[in-house]
Amino acid sequence: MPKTECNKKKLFIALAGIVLIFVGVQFQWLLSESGSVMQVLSISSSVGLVWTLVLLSIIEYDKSQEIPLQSGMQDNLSNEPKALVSDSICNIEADKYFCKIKDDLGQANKLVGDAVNNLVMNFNYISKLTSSHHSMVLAIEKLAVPADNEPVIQLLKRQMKIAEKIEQELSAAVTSLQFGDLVTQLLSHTAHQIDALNMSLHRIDRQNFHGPDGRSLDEIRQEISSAVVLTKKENKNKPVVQQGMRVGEVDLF
Amino acid sequence: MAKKILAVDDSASIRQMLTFTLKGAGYDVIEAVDGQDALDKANSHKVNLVLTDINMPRMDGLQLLEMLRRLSHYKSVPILMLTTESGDDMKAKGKEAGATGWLVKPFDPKRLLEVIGKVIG
Repeated sequence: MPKTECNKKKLFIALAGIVLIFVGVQFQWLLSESGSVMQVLSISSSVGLVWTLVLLSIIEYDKSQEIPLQSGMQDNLSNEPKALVSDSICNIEADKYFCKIKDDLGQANKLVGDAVNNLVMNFNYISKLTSSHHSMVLAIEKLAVPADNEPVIQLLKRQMKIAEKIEQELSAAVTSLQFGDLVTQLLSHTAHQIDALNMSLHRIDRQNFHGPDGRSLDEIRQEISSAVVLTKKENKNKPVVQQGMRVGEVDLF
Repeated sequence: MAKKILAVDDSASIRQMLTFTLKGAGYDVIEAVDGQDALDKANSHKVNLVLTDINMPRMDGLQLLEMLRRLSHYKSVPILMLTTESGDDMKAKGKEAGATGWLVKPFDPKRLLEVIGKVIG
């Protein structure tokens, strides 16, 4: 039976049931004075109840007819849902995989951050020691060191040279210690690229989900390649291009 | 009286290296963690030079540069960009927005001090 016709039938039966209950109640009101109120009420209630039961049976019967129909649809298209299920599993796995990569990047970032913090603390400590050492050498020099005390003068000169050398090394350390910032920016950039690639793969997956029919492996491969190209294009502004810790260029406008 | 430099970078280690270098050379240093923080501090202090990174949260260095150039006091204050970015298009953007110079990280303390000496005398 067509679905619209079935609905009309149900509506008719329901209306008929309501009308019958209404008529019964009217009779109850009209005959209330004749003493047969209970009888009329009983009859009208029974009829209404029967109609309601009939209506419920019809609805249940229709439902039972619809279930096999739905299972039939599933059977006919069994390949498609299977493919979608495997795709969605694939996506969950891909998400987990990308999350794992991002976790690893986060871990690397944390390790680098900790290392930089420790190095900066060491740096500050050494620079303070150097500064006080330098002051001490100057103070000793200022003391009246006899001009003929060549060994002491030579010792002080050597101390001054060592202090200068440490200062040079500290200056070089200032350049080297900037690696933390470069690495952090690169890791952040890579994490963004991973996000962008994951989103592109989701987009391809959605397109395949809503697509009219299955795509060939070559087409999917091509879509993935395009997604990678797009991701590269979107991330072309790589914030760090430095390959080493060589001092950067300076431009005055 | 020591000249005041506003050092803007979201990286704590870079801020520490800048402060070490600049204080060692006799400058007063005010640190800011991003563009917004720098803008707030630039409004409450009169600084002689701004040294700023570009890639920062909340407000990046180029936005900060544009905002500062709108303030009357900062129209002629030198603003140096200290960044990992070295692309010509980015430099052009910086120049157009009113940057005084462009320094690519990692910086060499000696060279940085030379440049600063050149722009603020």
